[in-house]
Amino acid sequence: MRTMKTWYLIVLGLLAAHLSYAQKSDIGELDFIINVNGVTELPQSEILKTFKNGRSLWDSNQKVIIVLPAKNSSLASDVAKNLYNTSVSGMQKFWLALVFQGRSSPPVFLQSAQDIVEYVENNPGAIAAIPAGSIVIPSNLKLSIK
Amino acid sequence: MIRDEEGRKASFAIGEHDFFVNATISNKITFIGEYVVRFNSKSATNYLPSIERSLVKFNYTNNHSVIVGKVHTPLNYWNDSYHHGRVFFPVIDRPLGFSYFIPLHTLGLQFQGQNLGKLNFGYDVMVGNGISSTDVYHDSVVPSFSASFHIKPRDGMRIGASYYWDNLHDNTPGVHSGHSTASSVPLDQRYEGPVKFRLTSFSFAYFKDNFEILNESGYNVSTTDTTGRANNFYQFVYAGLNVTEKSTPYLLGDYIHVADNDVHAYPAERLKIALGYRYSFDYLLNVKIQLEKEWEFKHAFHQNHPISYGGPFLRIQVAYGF
Repeated sequence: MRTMKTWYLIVLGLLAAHLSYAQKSDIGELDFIINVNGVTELPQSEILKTFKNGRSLWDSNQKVIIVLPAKNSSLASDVAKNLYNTSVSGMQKFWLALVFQGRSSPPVFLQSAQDIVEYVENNPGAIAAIPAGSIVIPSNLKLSIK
Repeated sequence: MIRDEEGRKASFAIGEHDFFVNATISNKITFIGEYVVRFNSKSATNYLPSIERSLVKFNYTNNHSVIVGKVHTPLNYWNDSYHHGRVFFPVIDRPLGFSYFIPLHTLGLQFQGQNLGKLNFGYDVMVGNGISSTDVYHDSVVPSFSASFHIKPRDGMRIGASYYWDNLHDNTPGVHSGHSTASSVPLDQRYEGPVKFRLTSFSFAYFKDNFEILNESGYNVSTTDTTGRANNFYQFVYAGLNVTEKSTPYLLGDYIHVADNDVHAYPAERLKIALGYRYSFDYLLNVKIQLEKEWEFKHAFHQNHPISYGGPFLRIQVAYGF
């Protein structure tokens, strides 16, 4: 029993030491693209939650399709850093783990900003993130932060 | 030194190969399959395949789903997250509790919710074939029942608790148990009567870019008419420090205690401590090096060496995915 108490104290101590540690994502550095009926703006918290598997269906019952830059895309590191506060590898691992757990469908990873815009345009329910200013986004696909 | 199921030593061993399928059938329906091929010297080909997961998931409304099929029983963080994917394991082996208490699989009907509210509350409630069943047969008409709940109050953190209920008709673990009655117990001495099996689990996981913590605890009660109530528990703690994105030294402690009057898992008390290092070349390839020592303080049918068990061993595992 003493061993168990020691282990619990170690776990609680490490937890307490990191309670002040908070993730900070700078999504102002990103542009968002969406193809969901009637949705042109969302609160920042809702955008972050959506990109972290916090939503499976839109209010219109369309499936949420996450679209991200592929790992070897020049756009990937900015999206990983500003949206997931991690590296490209960390972002890939995040999604692989969720898919393997059965808690999400895999995102669509594409190479260029043009590919991403075209995919979103052709797939209702899709939402994408790219570095700000990467491409001119058609006004009907642009998602603003509320 | 690695030993196979018959105790033979080997310097190298090929591990499980895990094939994973995720398919979108429609807007709200997905299929997930996980199929493992592993070494088995009793097989004509030296390998045996198995269906580890096969399920259809109906996402009937945002973040709520109904699942039908064979799943990894969502009782704790490890079993619900890592499944057979060694590339995800933070250490080389599963916790010892998996060999004694954890009903690894359940085949049945599951209700799942996730990411609800500000705390990202999630639930998994399941009715299915229990510990004694196979994929096509159950030993009684009474199903097993499990309920687990978790919250994810911040990125990388998950806190969960669960309860598992099963009445075994004749104490015969099937393919869903993940554990078995002690293999060293002679067949003619094994208890074959009914067992009431209850398991309460608690998990705490916190995986960040700079550190990782995983705690798995469990309290199991096995009750029979002849031996009464056996109180058992397990405790696994892992802590890793991500010195860089690729480099993670870590520590683990793993302890199980099975009471003297337990006739399902049979009496045991084991402790394993390890110091390890994980190098992640990528999220799809890592190498783990682990220096470990294990003690067996008690075992029902190993009275001749009650303390020393194994090690110190230096073990290396290469895990990959693609």
